[in-house]
Amino acid sequence: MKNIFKNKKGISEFVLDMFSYLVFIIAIFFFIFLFKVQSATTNHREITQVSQVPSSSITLLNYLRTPVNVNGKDTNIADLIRLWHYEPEKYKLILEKTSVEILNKFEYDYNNPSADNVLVGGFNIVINSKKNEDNSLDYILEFQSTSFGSGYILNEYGGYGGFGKIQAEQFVPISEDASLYVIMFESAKAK
Amino acid sequence: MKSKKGALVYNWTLTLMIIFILGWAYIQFYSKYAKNEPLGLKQLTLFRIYAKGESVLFYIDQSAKYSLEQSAYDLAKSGGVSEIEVSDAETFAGYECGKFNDAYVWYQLRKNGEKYNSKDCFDEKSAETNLGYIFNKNLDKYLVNYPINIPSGNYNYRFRDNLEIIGLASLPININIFKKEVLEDFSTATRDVKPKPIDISQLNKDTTKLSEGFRDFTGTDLCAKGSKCVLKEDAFQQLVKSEKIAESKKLCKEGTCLEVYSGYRSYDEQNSLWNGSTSEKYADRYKDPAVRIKYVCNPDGGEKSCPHMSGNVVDIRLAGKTTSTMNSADWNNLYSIMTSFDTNRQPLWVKYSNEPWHFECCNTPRYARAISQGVTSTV
Repeated sequence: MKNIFKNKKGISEFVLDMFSYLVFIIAIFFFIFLFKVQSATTNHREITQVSQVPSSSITLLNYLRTPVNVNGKDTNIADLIRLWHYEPEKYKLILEKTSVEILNKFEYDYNNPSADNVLVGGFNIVINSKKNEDNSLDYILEFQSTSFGSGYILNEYGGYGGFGKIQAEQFVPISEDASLYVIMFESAKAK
Repeated sequence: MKSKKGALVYNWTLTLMIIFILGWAYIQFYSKYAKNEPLGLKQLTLFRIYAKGESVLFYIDQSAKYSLEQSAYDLAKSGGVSEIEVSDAETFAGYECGKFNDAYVWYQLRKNGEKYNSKDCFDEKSAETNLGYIFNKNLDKYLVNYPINIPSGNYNYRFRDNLEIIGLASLPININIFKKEVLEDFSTATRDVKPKPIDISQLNKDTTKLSEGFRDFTGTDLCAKGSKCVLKEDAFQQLVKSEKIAESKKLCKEGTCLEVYSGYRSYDEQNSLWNGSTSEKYADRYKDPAVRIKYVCNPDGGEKSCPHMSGNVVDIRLAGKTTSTMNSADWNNLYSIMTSFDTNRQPLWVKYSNEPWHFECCNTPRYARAISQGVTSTV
């Protein structure tokens, strides 16, 4: 150390050495900070993704597959929709009644991270004559569960969206050249 | 590190190198995990595709249920005979006594002098085969209405007990997991979804170049829905030229004008037709290969007897039509387009004169024969 301070050159080299160590340490800490921040954001995003796992289309299929007895014959809701399409007057009431019963059973309570209170998920089924190219709906029949709230439709990211975000869609065959387009909306409202 | 100067350079070089390495690691990390694309997106897409697959299967199940009911009715109405059996003017395979009062005769009693000669005309075993054939036709009509491409004629059927049918799919349903989904939003303005004339660059993206110079264009506008469309590269390019000619002649109001519904058939595919694995059950109907060959070609004959195996043959029609809805004007238009002359003064395709939908190109034996005869249609 004494030698270093004996000449000016030694001092300047010592300062430069120290400076390089300082830069080195700062760089290390800077990157530690950077990686830390990065990994924290990643975790956050990962959690957001969990809520996006789509369950609505399975719910819609479950609804359509639900067994129902019509005129003493075991069938399912999709068949009942087809029967209603051919004979609306005869089957409308039973279709509506059965559907609402099923949708009410589908309702569920849950905690959404973006809300403090317990929410109840409700369902809305809309039967359309076809899927329009311009994305407009073509309602023929609609029914909803008791807790469905049209103002609080769950969007595809598990949060709340305005009306219009489709949850699940299904084509139900009617005949060789026709099918009905059934869509399901899911809502959330405070219990 | 004896010299102090050297130590100084060493310190700075090490520091800069560490900064560089960490910076590079950060960029790598960032580019992998910190795009706008959220973590777990691919896994999530798989969940979505699974749901889509379930949705398709549900549609197929329901369609099969209705098709079977309809098929049983159709078969009963036609007296257990399917149209494939009566398509041949010479023989009714497995059915010999013809019709009486528009109903097919199952049992014939003919007076011969003082005696009566009886004859069983209907082979009851064929009813199952016929049901499978009619069922397949009816099911395909349902499946073609589904928005995504479901392969047609894709099932091998087995019957169990009373009207229980099991379909074993030969081809999978393809759902593109890499295609970015457009989420449905009914609140948005109208989207322009009208089909546009053929876009070559898009077509190149949508098709797959297979090994041995084949091009798979299944699922594109040039391929009929439900069909598997594969051609040799040269034949595919000829098809694109024909399509452009059709568009220039304003044959179609919008979208593509031509639609291929059969192209290349591998040995296995042709063999399954020949040996009766398909719903047509050719081998069951026509046990004698000499008779069967009138309806389906034997793959052992190779490309010469089965031109579809060459990859240079198409069965084609005008888009939006079926072979039964094509009228004579349509067939004429198709013929005129397909046999248009190329820049080298040769027709793009030549027609097999017995089948107005069957065209060959690219030096198949039939094409070469037609060229040497100076015609665009030959047997």
